[in-house]
Amino acid sequence: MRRDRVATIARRELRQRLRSRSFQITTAIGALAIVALFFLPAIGDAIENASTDHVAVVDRPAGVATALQRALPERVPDGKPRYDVLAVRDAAAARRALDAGRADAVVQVGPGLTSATIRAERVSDGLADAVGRALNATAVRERLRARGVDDSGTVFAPVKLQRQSTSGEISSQSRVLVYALLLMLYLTLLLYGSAVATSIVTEKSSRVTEMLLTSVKPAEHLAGKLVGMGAVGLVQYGAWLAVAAVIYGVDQLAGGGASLDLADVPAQTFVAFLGFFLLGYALYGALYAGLTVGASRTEDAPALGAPLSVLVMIGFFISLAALDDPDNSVVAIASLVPPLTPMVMFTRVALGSPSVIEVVGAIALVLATIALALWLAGRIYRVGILAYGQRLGPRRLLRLAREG
Amino acid sequence: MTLVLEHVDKRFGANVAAQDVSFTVPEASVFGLLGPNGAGKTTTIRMIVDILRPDAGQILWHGIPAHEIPRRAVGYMPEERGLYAEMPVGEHVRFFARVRGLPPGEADANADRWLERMALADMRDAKVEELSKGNQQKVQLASAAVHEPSLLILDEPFSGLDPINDELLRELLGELRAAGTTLVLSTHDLERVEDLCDHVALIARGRVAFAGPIGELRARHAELTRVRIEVEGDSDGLVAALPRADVLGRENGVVRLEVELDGDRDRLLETVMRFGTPRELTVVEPSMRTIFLAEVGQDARAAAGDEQRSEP
Repeated sequence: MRRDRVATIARRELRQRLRSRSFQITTAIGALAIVALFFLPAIGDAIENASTDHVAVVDRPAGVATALQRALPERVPDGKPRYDVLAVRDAAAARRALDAGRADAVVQVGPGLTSATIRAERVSDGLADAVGRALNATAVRERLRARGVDDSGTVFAPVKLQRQSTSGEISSQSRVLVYALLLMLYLTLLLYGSAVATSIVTEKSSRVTEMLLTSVKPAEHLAGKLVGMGAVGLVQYGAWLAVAAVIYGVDQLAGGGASLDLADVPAQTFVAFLGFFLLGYALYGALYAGLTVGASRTEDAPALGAPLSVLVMIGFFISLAALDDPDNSVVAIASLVPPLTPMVMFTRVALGSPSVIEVVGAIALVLATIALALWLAGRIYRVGILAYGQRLGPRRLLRLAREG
Repeated sequence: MTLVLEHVDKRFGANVAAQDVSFTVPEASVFGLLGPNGAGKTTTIRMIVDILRPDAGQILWHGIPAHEIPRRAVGYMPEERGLYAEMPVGEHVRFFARVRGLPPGEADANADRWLERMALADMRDAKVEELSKGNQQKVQLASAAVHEPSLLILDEPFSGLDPINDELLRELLGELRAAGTTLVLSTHDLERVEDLCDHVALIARGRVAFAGPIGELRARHAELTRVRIEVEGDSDGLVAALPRADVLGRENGVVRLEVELDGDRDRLLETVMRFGTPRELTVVEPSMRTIFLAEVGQDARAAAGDEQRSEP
């Protein structure tokens, strides 16, 4: 195996792929998905919070309108108050304000500040929450004052809550993130595994390989294809990572308005993600290559590769189940089955608490399986890459390979 | 003596693709590998370029076994053309130079030179798939020969070429040969061989029927040389005296006929003079096709009929 020839083939594969429309489109879609993941909740908020809501408050007991306005300090981005409280004399005046469109909602407080109604054409959750919070604060403040406690401003200073999950408890935030990463892993393993197959069979059916094989050994060709396509995957992930980093950085500088908070996601999740992608890709790439190299036409490749798609899918579904219970014994066993390891063990590492021995053992098993798959694929490849005519399954090719 | 095949056998299951194939390709010659489709030409070529390994026998290039020949020394253009459709032409040719082990600078220089030579220089940045069929063929040849191998093997190089590119290829082969390249061409187009090759191997059903200089092949079949005569006079008498002659035409006491040159030209002339006055007498060398059929017999004619293309 000559490294320079492998590199030449890998470089060509990488360069052609990066230029291809399909790569650019999948990268763009992935980047959009990342942006959406970050911003969709924030965008929803922003749309709702972009304008001022006018709230008519029946000012009885007197001063309640002023107190409410004080308890609603939020501002819209251009600096105007988010909630504009309009004091009115009575319910009739309030209704007139509502009908005339001067107010979006009407609030009337019951006696003793123990109840209140908010009325609007449609009462949104956001508005009801805000008004509710403001009313509570106002009521508590009034009751304290009645008992002689003066509000010096510190009474209502908010408490900052920090979340620290021990392994048993999984925050919904990190579960969402792991789910998103898992979905990505699943899609890219399928995408890149079958891309290896398509690339080999396309090249074979266009008969370029025959000319190539006078200068390159089949094993070198296979290695070049796998390395090249893997590099494409890394470039794509790099691009997505860069997009995510830029968004996250900008968002943090702007005060962390976006909803996804990565502060409590350990770095090992991302390291594990990349590591398991590479392991999974190497395994499935080699298997796809070995299973489909006998196809003479591009159309035949998917049928030959179908069993692998099923395997990837099984790994994905077990991982989905593992999101809730990552250290369940079935999940633990599945994480040690090499074809399932990349996704299932990733989920366990990210959310559960597998022992070091389990993780190292699973990785060792995958590496051994990759070595075996590469060896088998190399043997099949030698025969399959030149076999035209009938559609040759892997079993037939293996027999031919044994015969020489 | 450069490329030597000695008793090479190759079978695929029950199918014998090459049996006891032996021939020698002298250095800087143009060597024609002739035979009908399915005769074993492609299998033989694939063994020379070490895509396939022979079951028995050996292939030596300057005494080195086929699988140890430096990759830079050999160029190969398969019969089934294949290109990376989406690659720019210049990169395509350069890629094949790099794969053959040329360092980057040399690969660039060689690719440029070949594009120039093939009149493809201004299509350097176009994608291969955007080129006409003839130009794609030229990209194919440039990709096969860009590393300037000392042994260049072309499987059916003329199939599908228009007359202009046909001529271009012919010139190019001449140049390569003058530069010392050993050329092996496989073809089933027998007429083509006569003006291109100086050595040939005739293959049918996996066996070599003849291998050697083309002149030797002709000498072996001197009996197939025929004479065409046009005679004025007693045509009936003449036809009766030459029972094995083919009568080509007869009008106004002039007869045209063709007859085998059985050794003695003078005796034939004597016979002719007895019946009339010869107006024309031409010696017709046998065509390659005739020789080929004589060498490989009816067997091959049958094989040529059913176009087997199942060589893996």
